[in-house]
Amino acid sequence: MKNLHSTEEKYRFSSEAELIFEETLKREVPNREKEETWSNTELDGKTPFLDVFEEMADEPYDIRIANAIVRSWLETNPRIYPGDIVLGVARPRRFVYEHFSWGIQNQSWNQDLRRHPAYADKLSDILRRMDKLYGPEMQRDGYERKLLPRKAEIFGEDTDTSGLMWVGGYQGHTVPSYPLLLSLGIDGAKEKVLHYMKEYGEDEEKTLLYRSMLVILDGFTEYAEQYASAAKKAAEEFPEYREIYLEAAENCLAAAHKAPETLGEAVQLMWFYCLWDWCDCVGRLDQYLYPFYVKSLNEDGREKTENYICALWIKLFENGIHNVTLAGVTPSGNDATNELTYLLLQLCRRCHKTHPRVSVRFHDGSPEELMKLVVKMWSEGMSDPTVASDNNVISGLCKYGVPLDDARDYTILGCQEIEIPGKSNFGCEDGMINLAKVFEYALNNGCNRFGQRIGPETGNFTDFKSADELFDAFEKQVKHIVPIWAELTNYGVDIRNANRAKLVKSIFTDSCVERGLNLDAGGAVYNYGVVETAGSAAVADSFAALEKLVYNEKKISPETLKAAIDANFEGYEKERQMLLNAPKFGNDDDAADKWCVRVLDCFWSEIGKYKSRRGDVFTGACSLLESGIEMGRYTWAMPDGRHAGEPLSNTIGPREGNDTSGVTAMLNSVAKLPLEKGIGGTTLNVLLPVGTLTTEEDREKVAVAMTEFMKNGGQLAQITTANLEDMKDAQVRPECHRDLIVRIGGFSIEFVQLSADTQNEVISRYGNA
Amino acid sequence: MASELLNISGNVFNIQRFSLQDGPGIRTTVFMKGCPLSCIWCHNPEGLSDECELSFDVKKCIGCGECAKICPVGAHLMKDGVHIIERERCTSCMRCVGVCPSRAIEQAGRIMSAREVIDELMKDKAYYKENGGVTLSGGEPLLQPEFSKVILAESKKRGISTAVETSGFADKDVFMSVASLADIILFDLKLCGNEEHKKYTGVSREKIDINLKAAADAGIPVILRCPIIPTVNDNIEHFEGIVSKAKTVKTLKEVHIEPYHTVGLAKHRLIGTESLFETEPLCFERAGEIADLISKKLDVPVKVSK
Repeated sequence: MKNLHSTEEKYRFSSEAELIFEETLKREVPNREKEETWSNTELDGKTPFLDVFEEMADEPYDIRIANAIVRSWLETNPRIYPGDIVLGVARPRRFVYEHFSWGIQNQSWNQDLRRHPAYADKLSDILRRMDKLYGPEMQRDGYERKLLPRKAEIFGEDTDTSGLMWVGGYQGHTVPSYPLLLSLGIDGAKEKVLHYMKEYGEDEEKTLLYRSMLVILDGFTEYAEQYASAAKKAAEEFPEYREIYLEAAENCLAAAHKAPETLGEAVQLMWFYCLWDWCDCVGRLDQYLYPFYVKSLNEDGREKTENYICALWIKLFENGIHNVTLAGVTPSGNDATNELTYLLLQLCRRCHKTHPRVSVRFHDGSPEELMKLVVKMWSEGMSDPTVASDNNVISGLCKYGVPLDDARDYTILGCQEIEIPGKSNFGCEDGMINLAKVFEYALNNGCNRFGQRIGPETGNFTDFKSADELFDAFEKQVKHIVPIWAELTNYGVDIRNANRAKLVKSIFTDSCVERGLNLDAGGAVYNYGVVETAGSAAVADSFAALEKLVYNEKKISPETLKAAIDANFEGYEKERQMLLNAPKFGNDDDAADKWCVRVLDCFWSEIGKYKSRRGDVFTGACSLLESGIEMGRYTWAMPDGRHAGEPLSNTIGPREGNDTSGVTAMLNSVAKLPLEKGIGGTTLNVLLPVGTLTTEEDREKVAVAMTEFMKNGGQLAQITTANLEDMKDAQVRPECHRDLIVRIGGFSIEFVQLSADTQNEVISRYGNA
Repeated sequence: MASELLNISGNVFNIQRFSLQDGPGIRTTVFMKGCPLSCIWCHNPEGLSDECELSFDVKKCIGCGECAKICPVGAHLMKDGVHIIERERCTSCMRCVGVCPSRAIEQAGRIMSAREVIDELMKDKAYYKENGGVTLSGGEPLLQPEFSKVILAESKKRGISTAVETSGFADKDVFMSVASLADIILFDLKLCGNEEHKKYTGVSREKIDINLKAAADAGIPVILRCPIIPTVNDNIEHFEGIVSKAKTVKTLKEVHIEPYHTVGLAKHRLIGTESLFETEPLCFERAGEIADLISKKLDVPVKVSK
């Protein structure tokens, strides 16, 4: 029996699986290494959406969109790689397509498409045809007609609110119910839809939804059968793979109809469905497949079992699936870690790339080997897996009213978000608020720095006698901005709902079919909203600096401070230095940490008073990707000594370079935050000093640090271990460092793909390591 | 422990959390000011003097002149736009430290009570587990024995494992009074012969050897820490010396090879002292070779410190 826990040598799979691996890593897949994960087959010049919308002009919109989705899959030619035992590849991004997050997308702006030879002679024709497609259902229309005018109405046409918020959002990732898919199969799902269609017979709107769901399911059957035929044909053409292709054909046929009985049927069905779900996230993979895995081990032996798991992983890897979650507790509270958990981690260890992101859940009873393996993977240069704390997330979800068993079944998805798989639509990234801008308004009596009014008059800064008085002003500005954000963001929800594109997800998300509601109409069981939180550390640091230097020690007068900020510290370097050297969040120093707690508590509590149009309240999150840098560009100088334009933190952690008291101090600071109100998911990058993970002994120490962090209030964390020299060299010779992967916000990304600004920012973090 | 005992104060120049190199587990290292040795390669020169010193980093200076304004003896001067400290005038009143906005001027060393130190140690209590904990280092903890004893005893009382990193240079009763409160001793082994030891560190090995034996006799686990300094002790005779010394320590757990680095040189400049010694750092490869060499002749792990 091989040791799946091994942290020593990398795991060797069965000889066949090893061959598959080698083949895969050799083959060229367009765009595999880009973030464009949903378009990794070449462009083909086809226009299925436009065709269907024109051909079916008389049909209701819902029926057209369902047919367009189906057509776009059926028109993507089956592709079978040599030796493929699990079949199916993603389809190209065409001029109109449906996206797991945005819904129907107009890509007429896309220069790659415009320039592509496949479309060269058809371009003007396509653009003309697309013009006719605009209607209330199209996102851009909703955005331009509703959201932007309303925003201008609220703030005033000429008022500068750049860098304050982002609304309407991405509203993206959800994990549909793979257990439901695997237990019903496609035929079972059709029966279920038909059952409810009969039940709601009178309701036209619901009937239309059910009809469009049936179009999808019938299309899915046809698609799977198409692949079955292709595999049979391939079996004749390539005798050396005959057995494999014949088996794949059987699996495809099964996937077209029935609930799977074997591992092969299960992974094929999962994979087809995952493709149709636009390669979104697959949730708790080690849980969903485990029964099939055990059965296969017993009936077919280890080699065949590993081949299937391996083949599925390669599909997830090659097609850029967003997130896979492993381990944690089961809905009944037992340890969910199993053999498959380790096998999947070992596979991830072999495919060292940015996708799929892997998240591992930990609870008090998680096996020590699991953390050991995770740390070992970090030490090998991976920033995956992300670790997630069951303690924090489950109790946070419960406080928002999620029943314990469902809370225990949470998954990580997207970049670093949290949801209940198969039951929720948290609207990952409904929008964002930059608290640093809100702070600017508090400092300017409710105006932006140009004197344009944004919020209520909350007093002149120079009249305040304490940091608490300024905090009151900040709180009032927060209370003013939050409902505006919520209103605008809900237009985004409306726009997506009007789109009615998430049919594939809706069929397999609990309660959508039962209630006859599309996912974006609030069809899921849990419909919380999520606000991304930018600038919390900079605001906390600003309060801490003001409290110490202006109000307690009185070393800087309020007037001087205000003048220094207004001047972006030009001529005030002495004051700036004093501010820079005031206590900073991230050093386990309550003088600063308490402010970060207050700021987040104030903001996230306020957010929780408003509801997403999907039905439940908004919650906090912080998975900013590169937005901390972007928002920073629009944010003026602040009393923490930060110059105008400098980056804000990309995570819930300290501003880059401000944590100078060691890793444990930083972890303690973050664990003090009210992260249970940030159940949308709050990322934290832990930057370990170069060389910290080289010996077994050191790795054990890091394992202890991360385990304790998660026990004591931490939520999510990821480790960056790339080394400084490599990054500097990569700036000079990018071609030599394509394998250099770093974490930014919730994102694993190739260092060389980053802008020079972002590269410098990552490097400056290392300067303090 | 009677709580008034925790009022005892000592001079500490740094407390470093998440120390991974100063003993088993995750540790917080307390660097205590003052050292009876004067190793020519000293990498913590700010730990040499037992008094607080003025530290000045010209790179951080913004030339605001606040220090010059407040200095009662005119020790801070601006010459051709460059900030110079005339240290011979300085009376270490430290007034300039309080007015320097950019922390270019800082005080090396801080008088802390044992209670303050313990509060700091407790912040990482959750991370220590059974084997991690506190390490007293320096400087030389044996120069502040009463302070050290209070910290060690209180730590043990609170379930924090204790370690002392020491040159071993002290009277035996002083040494044992501190060492007996340590769960492990990181014992320096700089040079093996009396003469050489005196030449490079300023003191002879006699007391040190007595204490090393006493620690082992008392059953206190020992890690030997061997700085390897090119041109001083990077030679086979010294490695053989390490092996034979190591064999006399019944409670030996590990031997650490500590390659010379040049960080100490920059620190010298900060406190206005000068190092009379400079050589190339010892590369990790060479340190690894030395560790292998020694390892072959001993039954305990020989590791290279980073």
